[in-house]
Amino acid sequence: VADHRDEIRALLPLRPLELLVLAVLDETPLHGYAMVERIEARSDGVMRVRPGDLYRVLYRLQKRRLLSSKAGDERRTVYALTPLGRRVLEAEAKLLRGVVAGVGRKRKEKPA
Amino acid sequence: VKLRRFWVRTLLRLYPRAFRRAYERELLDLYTDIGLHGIHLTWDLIVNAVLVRFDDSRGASVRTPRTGRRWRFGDGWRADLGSSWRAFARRPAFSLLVVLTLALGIGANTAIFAVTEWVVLRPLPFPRPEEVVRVWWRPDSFNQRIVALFQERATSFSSLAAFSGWSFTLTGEGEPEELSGAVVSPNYFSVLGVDAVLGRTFVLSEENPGQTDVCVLSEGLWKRRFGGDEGVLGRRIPTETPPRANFRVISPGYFGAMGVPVLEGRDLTDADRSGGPPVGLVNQKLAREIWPNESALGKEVHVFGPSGPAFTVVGVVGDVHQHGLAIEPSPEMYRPLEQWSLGRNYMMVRTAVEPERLVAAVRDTIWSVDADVPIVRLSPMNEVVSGSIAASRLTAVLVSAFAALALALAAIGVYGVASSIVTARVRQIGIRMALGAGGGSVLRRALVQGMFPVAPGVLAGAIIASTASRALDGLLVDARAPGPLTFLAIAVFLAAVTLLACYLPARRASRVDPVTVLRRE
Repeated sequence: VADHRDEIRALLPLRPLELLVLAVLDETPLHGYAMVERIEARSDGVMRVRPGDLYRVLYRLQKRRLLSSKAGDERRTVYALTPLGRRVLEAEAKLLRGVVAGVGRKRKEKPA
Repeated sequence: VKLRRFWVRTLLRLYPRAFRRAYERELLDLYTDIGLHGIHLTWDLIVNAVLVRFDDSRGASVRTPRTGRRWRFGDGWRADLGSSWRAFARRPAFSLLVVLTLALGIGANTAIFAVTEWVVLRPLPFPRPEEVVRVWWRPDSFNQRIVALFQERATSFSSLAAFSGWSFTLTGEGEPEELSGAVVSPNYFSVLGVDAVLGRTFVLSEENPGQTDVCVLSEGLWKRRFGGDEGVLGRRIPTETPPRANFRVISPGYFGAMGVPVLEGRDLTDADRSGGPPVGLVNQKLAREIWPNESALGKEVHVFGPSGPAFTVVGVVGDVHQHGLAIEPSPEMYRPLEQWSLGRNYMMVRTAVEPERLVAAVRDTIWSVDADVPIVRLSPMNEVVSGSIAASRLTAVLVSAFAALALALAAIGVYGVASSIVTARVRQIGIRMALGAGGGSVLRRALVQGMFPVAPGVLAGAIIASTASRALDGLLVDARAPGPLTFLAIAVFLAAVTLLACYLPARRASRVDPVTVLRRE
């Protein structure tokens, strides 16, 4: 795989729904409806995904070659991460880990 | 389900073709699976169409063909301007129509907004008037304790001031003058957010009794009466406070001068003096309200409650629009001036000469009796009447102007639509005539074709306008919403405009030599 470092950097940060799509596809390839269900479950029901939103994001991610698709069973199309997609997801995860590293730790007492 | 399929397919036309091809079937399935439909589905598809298109347009960089650099706003504006001008010159009449429509539209909007802002949004001369609430209180139950109670308990307000309208007579310097003003609590000005342009407003200690001989002048009075002199600060101004009351006390000859008819009983006469039996008149409205089924004559009326002063009704007079033509006459009673003099008095003078010429004579006569009597205003009855309707006249003029503007816009729009339809068919007309069609039939055809899209519009407009005006009817006081005749007249007018718009280009076309038209093809 060629070094796509600049390309990956240009794609960050991901938008919330993009991140969620890549994240649920990291486990296994899925079709549209399954993605909606898993995203909802994974975000504790906070992200209610509407079809238009989902396919806009799939369209965008496919155009940027982060996803590939193939025909699955029951005529449904199944989407999967490409190697580039996986690297982008990992880069985003690293970025977010850095961002949230301090969050939730006990705060120091404020000086009076 | 079929309908939804159709609707989703229709909305998907907003998307790039690649998107449609890849996802149409899946999207349909997904909408069915999660049960999203109706307005939510529509909104979802429209919003995302915009986002997808936007994203696509950002992804691809548009390059200008000649230089190969990225396109920037402002490129080639000279060329744009030039081509606009050429288009304008090619069809000057049409272009003027467009410009006129835009000018009228923008002008009308600006005017309406300006008037609305002036009348509705900013009618009061102090900052943030929307935060100020005025509470009316009956004068007999209002006192300092109530104000204190409000200040203590009304926690929803940041501050509270009390005031009572009052009038003062300014005497001593120049002509005596009656001034309208108010007695106010010291924080009145700070509550309104108004500060003194010169000197200061009241301080809290001035609320105490015995400290009340201070006043604040309005800027208008200061400039007019005191010439804007800064030396007015600290000067003592002699005033008198005339007593006030809510009802009318009349002087010998008022009815004769005013021409108010006595409907029952008798008029007041010179014999109704002080010391004589207390008498008075009531108007028809009051008589009907209090004694609906019997005569008011001889009834005893107590003023200010059962223990208050009383008088006997000796006559019933017609109702008078005392407070303005648009305001319903209120129940009223009239007392002889000699028996009860209270408040502001009016004197009516009937004359055969022009009223303006009498002003000086009337004033001198009054001051020859008492030089300290303020004369608030001397005005011909005509002016009093027109003053009472001035506000509604302004509204009427404004509304009429806007209505005329709207009609003009509608006429221009209709003219544009109809004439462009017929103009687009000029070649067709030429061909028909070349093939032997008669001028008359060609003209008729053009008229029908031009009228076709306009007629339903005019009809729909008339129906909507009459429905809307019926809803408006409830809001109008003393005025009726326009009747069917008005709508018919406007529909006929617009139809006539349309006919003209079709007729002119069609006639031109029917007179052109068919060969000329065909050669242009």
